[in-house]
Amino acid sequence: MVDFESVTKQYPDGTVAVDKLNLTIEKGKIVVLIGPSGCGKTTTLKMVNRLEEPSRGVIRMGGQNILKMNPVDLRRNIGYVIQDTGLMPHLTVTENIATVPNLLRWKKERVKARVEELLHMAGLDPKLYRYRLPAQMSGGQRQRIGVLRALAAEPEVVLMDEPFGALDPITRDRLQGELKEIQNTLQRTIIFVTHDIDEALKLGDQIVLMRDGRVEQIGSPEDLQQNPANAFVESFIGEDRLAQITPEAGIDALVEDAPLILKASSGPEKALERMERVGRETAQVVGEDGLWKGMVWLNDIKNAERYGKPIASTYRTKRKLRIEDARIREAATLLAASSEPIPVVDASGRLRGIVTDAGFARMTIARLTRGRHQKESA
Amino acid sequence: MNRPGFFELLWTYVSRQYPRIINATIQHIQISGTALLLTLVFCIPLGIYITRKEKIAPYVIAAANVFQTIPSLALLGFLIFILGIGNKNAITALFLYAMLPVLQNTYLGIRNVEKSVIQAARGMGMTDMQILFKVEMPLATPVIIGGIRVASVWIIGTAALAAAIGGGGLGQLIFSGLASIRNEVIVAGAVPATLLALFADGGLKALASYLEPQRRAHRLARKARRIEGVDLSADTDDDPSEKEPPDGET
Repeated sequence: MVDFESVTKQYPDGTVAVDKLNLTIEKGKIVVLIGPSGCGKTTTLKMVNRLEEPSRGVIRMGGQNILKMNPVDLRRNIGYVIQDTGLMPHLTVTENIATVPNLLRWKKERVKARVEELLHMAGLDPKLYRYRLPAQMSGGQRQRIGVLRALAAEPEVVLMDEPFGALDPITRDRLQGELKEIQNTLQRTIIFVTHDIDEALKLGDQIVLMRDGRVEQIGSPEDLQQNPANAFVESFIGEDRLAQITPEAGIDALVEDAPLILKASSGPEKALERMERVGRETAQVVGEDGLWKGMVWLNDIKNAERYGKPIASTYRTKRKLRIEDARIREAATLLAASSEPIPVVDASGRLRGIVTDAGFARMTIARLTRGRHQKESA
Repeated sequence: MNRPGFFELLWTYVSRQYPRIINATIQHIQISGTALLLTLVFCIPLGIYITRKEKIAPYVIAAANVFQTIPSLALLGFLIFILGIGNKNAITALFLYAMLPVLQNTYLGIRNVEKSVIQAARGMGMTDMQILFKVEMPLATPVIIGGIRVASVWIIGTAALAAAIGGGGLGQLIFSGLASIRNEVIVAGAVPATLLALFADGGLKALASYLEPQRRAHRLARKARRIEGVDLSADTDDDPSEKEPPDGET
């Protein structure tokens, strides 16, 4: 359905995001692009609807070279879901879902019927939700609407850029299940970007594991788990690591990039604005010197703003892990006490990332605690 | 015989001179209205333009800021050299004076629209014009109206100075009252000018609240109920948009 023929994307500053990529995406499948941050997965996705233009190479969709098509027409025929939902905050649920059909000038009745149909499909009662605004819904509901909006004009190809990345684990799980169900009936071609290997294994018919703009391995979830092409694939899938991990192992494997880093010099308004935009309850603060200052909470910053205090007054610095000597057991204990992300610093005081109650960490910790229970009961 | 009290004087003046007061009020509205219209026609497009040219934005805003910093009376004085005396001069001065809030709020309102919303809009196949008119402008509207409110109050207030350089409006009454030391004449000019400013501000505030997404969603729901008739009237109480507390615009 979508073919990349030695596609290269090089930015003006010389960075090569995607390097001579050859990839064929089959019709009616969910293809997951995954890899460490900066591996080129999002760039690859955005080249399909030409939000990014390849520097070299050809991309075909249904046999046609998309670089020769009008980008606006092309995009109207491709569904697009992004992490922050990108719903129009000033429009109702109905209007949001109807965006692309309206751009394509569908008749009013047809649009209306289609919106009802989609709401029913997602188990949202149209009577209740038709005239709601995005702000009046939960994160999970918003992202459901985001997915419905992408499906509204019945596009053959749907692009999803970490659509469930900002949701809590339970909601994420539920939406993944719903997406699978929808896909069973609709059979669209879905290109799905994620950095969560659990998600990739769960959703993908095919997984494309990327690193440094190249494909490391393409295959079904089983292929990747059973026949990893190389050591990188093996370690990324985590099967091997998982087996070796003990409560006394280091936490390196659990550390992810911190999704929201604030500068210590930014005021409470700026901090609030950024946190609300990304929809995070917490953020890490780093000083001009690159040293970790502390973790901040949305509510504390709101108070700080109200009373005109600097964000420095809200730093929380006690709950953290040192990458050199922290053990997985400690991470698990901290996460059991509170599911909020734990900042990870190194000996020199730099922020190395966070450990969250999601993805690989959740899997690992669940496994360890399960193991312990079995021992105890034996 | 006692000297007549202030209110008595005011009453006499108003009852005799009301055509003059009404005339001055109309002139005042004309001068301020023209200046405000000029400001909007010029500054909203300019504000949008500089969101596309981030490099020149600080300079444009700084230039508008300069005009705003010059004391209004001094600005009128300067303009006499260029435009002579009269309403044309006054309108130009008011326009220059009120540029900043409209320009700055248009710029900030549009620039602060969430990037993810714009990215989604583009990704769905909206053209640049559609993104501007269907996404950016509606989302920036509350901020832009905020700027227009400030501008309209400034303009109406400052328009009273137009009389100082031979223009019309309620300033004529104020200045002639000052010159002849007749408080009732000053008040007969000052009160309508104050009311005008309050009305303009209140009207724009009402407009902004009318345009709020929450209110609009409400109207849509009500309209749909009316059209679809009684079968839906039963779930009026279930309408979530009515119960949900207004948890703020995003």
